[in-house]
Amino acid sequence: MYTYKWVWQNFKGYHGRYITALVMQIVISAMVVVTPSITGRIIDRVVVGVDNGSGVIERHPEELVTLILLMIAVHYFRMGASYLMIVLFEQAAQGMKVSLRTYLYEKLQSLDMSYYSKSRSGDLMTRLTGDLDMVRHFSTNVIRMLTNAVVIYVAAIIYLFTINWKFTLILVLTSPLFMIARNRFSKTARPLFRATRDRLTELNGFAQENIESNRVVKAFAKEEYECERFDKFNVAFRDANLKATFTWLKFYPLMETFSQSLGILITFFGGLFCIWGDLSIGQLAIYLSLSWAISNPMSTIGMLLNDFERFLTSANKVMELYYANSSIVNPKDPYKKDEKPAGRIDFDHVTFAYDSNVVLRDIDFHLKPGETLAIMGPTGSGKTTIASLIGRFFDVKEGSVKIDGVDVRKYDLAYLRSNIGMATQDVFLFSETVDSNIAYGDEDLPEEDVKKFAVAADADSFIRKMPDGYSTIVGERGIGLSGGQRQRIALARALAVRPSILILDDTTSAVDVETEQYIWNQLAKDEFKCTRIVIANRVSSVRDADQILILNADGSIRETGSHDELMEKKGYYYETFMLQNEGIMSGVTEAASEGGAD
Amino acid sequence: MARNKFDIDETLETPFSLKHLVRASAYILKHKWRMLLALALSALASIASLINPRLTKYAVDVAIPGKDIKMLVIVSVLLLVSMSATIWLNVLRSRIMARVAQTIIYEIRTDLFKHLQYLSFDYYDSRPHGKILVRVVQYVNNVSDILSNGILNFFIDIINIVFIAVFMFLTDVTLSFVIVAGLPFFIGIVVFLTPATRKAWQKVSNKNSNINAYVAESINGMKVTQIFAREELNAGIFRRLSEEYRKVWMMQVYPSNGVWLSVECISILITAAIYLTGIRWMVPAVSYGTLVAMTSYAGRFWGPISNLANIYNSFINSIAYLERIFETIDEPITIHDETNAEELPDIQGRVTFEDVTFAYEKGHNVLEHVSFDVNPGERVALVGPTGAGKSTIVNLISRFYDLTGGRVLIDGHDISKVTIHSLRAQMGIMLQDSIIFSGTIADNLSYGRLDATEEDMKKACDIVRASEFIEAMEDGYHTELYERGGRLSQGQKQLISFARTILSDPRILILDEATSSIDTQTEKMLQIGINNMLKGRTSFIIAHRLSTIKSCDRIMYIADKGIAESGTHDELMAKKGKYYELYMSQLIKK
Repeated sequence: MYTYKWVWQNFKGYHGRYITALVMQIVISAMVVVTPSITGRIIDRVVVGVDNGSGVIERHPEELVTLILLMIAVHYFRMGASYLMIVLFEQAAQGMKVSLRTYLYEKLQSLDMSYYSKSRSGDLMTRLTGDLDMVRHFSTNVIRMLTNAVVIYVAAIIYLFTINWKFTLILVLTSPLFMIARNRFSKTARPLFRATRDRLTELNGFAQENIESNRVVKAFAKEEYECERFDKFNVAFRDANLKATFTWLKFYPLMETFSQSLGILITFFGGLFCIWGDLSIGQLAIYLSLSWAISNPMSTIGMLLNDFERFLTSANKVMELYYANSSIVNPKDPYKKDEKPAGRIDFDHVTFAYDSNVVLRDIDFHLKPGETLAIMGPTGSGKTTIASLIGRFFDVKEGSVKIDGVDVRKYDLAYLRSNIGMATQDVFLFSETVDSNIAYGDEDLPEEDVKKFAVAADADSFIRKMPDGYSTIVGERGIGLSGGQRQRIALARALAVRPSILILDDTTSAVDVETEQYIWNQLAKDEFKCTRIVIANRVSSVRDADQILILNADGSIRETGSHDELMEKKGYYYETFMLQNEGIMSGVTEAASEGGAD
Repeated sequence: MARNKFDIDETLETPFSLKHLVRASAYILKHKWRMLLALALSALASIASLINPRLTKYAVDVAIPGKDIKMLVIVSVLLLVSMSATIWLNVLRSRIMARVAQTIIYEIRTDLFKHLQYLSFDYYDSRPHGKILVRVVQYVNNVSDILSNGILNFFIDIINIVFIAVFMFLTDVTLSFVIVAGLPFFIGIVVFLTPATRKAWQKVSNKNSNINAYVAESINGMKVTQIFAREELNAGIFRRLSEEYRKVWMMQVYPSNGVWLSVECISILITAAIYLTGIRWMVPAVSYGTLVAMTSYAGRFWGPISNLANIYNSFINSIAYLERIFETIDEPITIHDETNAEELPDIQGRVTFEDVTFAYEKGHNVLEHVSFDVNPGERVALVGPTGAGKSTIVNLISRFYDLTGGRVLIDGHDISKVTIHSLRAQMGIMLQDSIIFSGTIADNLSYGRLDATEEDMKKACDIVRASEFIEAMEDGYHTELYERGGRLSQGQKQLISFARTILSDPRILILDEATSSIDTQTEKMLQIGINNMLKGRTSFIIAHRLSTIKSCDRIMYIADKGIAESGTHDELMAKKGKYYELYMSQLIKK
């Protein structure tokens, strides 16, 4: 029941329209008797004629035109009203859809990264598209047909009660049986409809992954294998559909028997009542002529049961997302300043875990505004996680992360994040023009500024060479660009928000060293001055940092200091340095000579 | 090439034509016997349902007035029997048709998906992936009903119309003409409405596709959105897309509902005309019985016509989707096997470029007149500025693109003359993006060699130094990964995709930035590991780190649309050219 209430609430702003449409449907359904009664009158008064009270049959041919005009008028009115009602229903449903969909979209944007790492994007997508459409379909078409069926049924039953209540009662008593069958069907069918929906989601998910991975598929020449794998999902979806349909067809005879047998019950019991003298033949004729009005609605309701189950399945999926909670939310009285933060960063003994999996242990460092921290360490040691904590994409387990001395958990999220420029490792570009990708964080960025940031990231030169220059649409994930080119666009994008804190997560790994040097020189300019966190494996990227943090594989700090200090230490940093400069440096170390392969 | 983004409607070049129907009928005709059977069952069911009124009439006219309870019971039982027959015939028909419908969409979807597998990178790069996806999933679902039950009902209704017309004309010819007279008006209205309806539905499908593209991309790029705190702006864009959808949806509501409306409007006029003609103008006026019969025939004649109109309507709607589906299936496969392509025999690994020129987009040559010859087992490093064409060269070896000029040969075989599968199956290509599939780590590792044992996997992972972190995960090699590798770090993803490439045991190995996100110490150990593995295999390595490059047999410096320098490390250092500059710039004074 709650599901229906929830849907109703989402019609907010369209309640009036929806109710009007519903009332119109009731009136229109009830008016179904008007046209037959007019034609009946034509037959009675014009064709057959009526007894004028003295045994003489009198015809009224002069009434013919009036009655016909009346019939046409009534019918046109009814149809015009139907058309209008459908428009109203559609308007209300589309209004509901727009606001619900927008709400869901906003909800999606507010959910934290741990939610995303556990959800399948195909599933989320289905909720915003297919599931939502099912809710719309139900609240317009299904409700409309249902109302029509119920009104006709109730009207017919009430009318029949006035003729003979005992006989009508017998007919009504069959309804509970119908309801029992209905409930049994619901119970059996619900899991099947859920399965159908799940299979569709899986199919969707697989197809999506395949489309995104089309390069890998080709690289491994696995087209046939992919077709085979897809076939499994395709078959599973087909079979789930068939199973649901066949289950429905198992119940269909039972329910259809209930509704269709009403006509037989009328003939049989009506016949008995007639024979016993409780009903006249004329009254029985009325019952028979109205038998469609009680059996068809039952059939319709039976048919609509499928839609009910589909609706409930979809609506619940939508509701799950609607009520999903993000663990990263704006605090009460979020902290926010008019100007940008200065950019001081303090990690106070930070420990962090994904679920129970500890990733960072006792990370402690302090950066003054304008300083640069470089982070190095083995693969999987938590470098990226440190970066994610600054923009509060996750909350720390112990300790605290502070910007300008204020805990990030106290900040207004939008304020915090919009002052951090971040170029992530896995560069995601939108299928948009190059300039809107660069201006992603600041839509109003003037064109010359876009260029300025592109120049700083050494992206300008290759962008100019593209077919439409800055207006070239790049493919999703920036496919079609080389890794280094993507990284440079991502860097320009991060710079374009003129951040107080710039985080470069392996941003230059696919860029050649000369270009990298050029970029560092650009960033050294005053206009790009800000606090920086640089994650890199290349010594050339980190050596100029004020502090260098070396992580252990278990997420604890191994070494910390400046380039010179760490070189003195002759630890991890020193080894890495030597490896990367092997053979050239005076005093080749043992480690370096091993690196000379072959 | 024209590229598409989320808010650009896809234009459809092909005009409305029966071609799509013919295409669709190929799928439908496969089931013609089943559908004929279903049609026969429907006919039986309607005959069974015709018996009921007769039986009822008998009960009312004979049994009840005669107070014959026994007869009443018999009639009721007969009614029950005929009702059950109708119901079960319908069940049978529905079972058959459900199977037909599901098979049709299954087949269309299979063909669509299969075709997509062979489309080149260009296709995927030039449009949002959500727009491709929506065709595979939603659009195919949308057409299933019309292509099965729609077609069946179409025939059922036609048969009904013919039957009723016969009865009608047998009863009264003049009045029958009155009933039929409405048809031209109706057809006129439908013909008038069709272009508007079709256009409206095309717009709906376009806007729907846009929303799908935007949602898909938003979900995939959510991290970027949150990093740039752009939620509000995106919500605004999404609201706009939703509003656009609403608008075109409503534009479709008006003409689509015009069809039944016109049926209703015409049919009531016909009823009126029957009364007027029958009572007023016909001499002698028709009998009461004829009048009742003819008005009921009018209803029963126009009922199926109204159904046909609805079927037609949903057909118009589905055509918009069918067009998109067939458009995709008709998308030419640009990189395909030549008609007499041969299997590439087991290769030694000689790679030859003969005067190769290549452009992604016409007029923008990326490579010009590139020639080189790499011996089997040779290890080649490609270096040079980003965007100079290093990845392009390796992409051409695998024939991901066709050349603009020149030839690429492997062991003397022109790669455009051999089957693509036999070519790529012998190469190991590690791309810049380490794409990880959802599934277990083992699933990912064995992607290139499905019969790999866990031991094989472990061996490959040992070589690239991935086994340590994999074994530390909760289920080791059977740990489930989420989409895109979920919580793995970029470096870990690279290691897994590296191991995946090694495991496929290729003769030619292409490593495009294979270790860019991996720390130097792991990389060093990894290199020791792969040295053995690389022996006897030709390899092309794109990297920026000197340690990776130096040990190669040959280094090619790619710049200015070609090979600027080529030679061993020592040769190039002695040359003091571009490579020398690059190398020296990377060294850091202590």
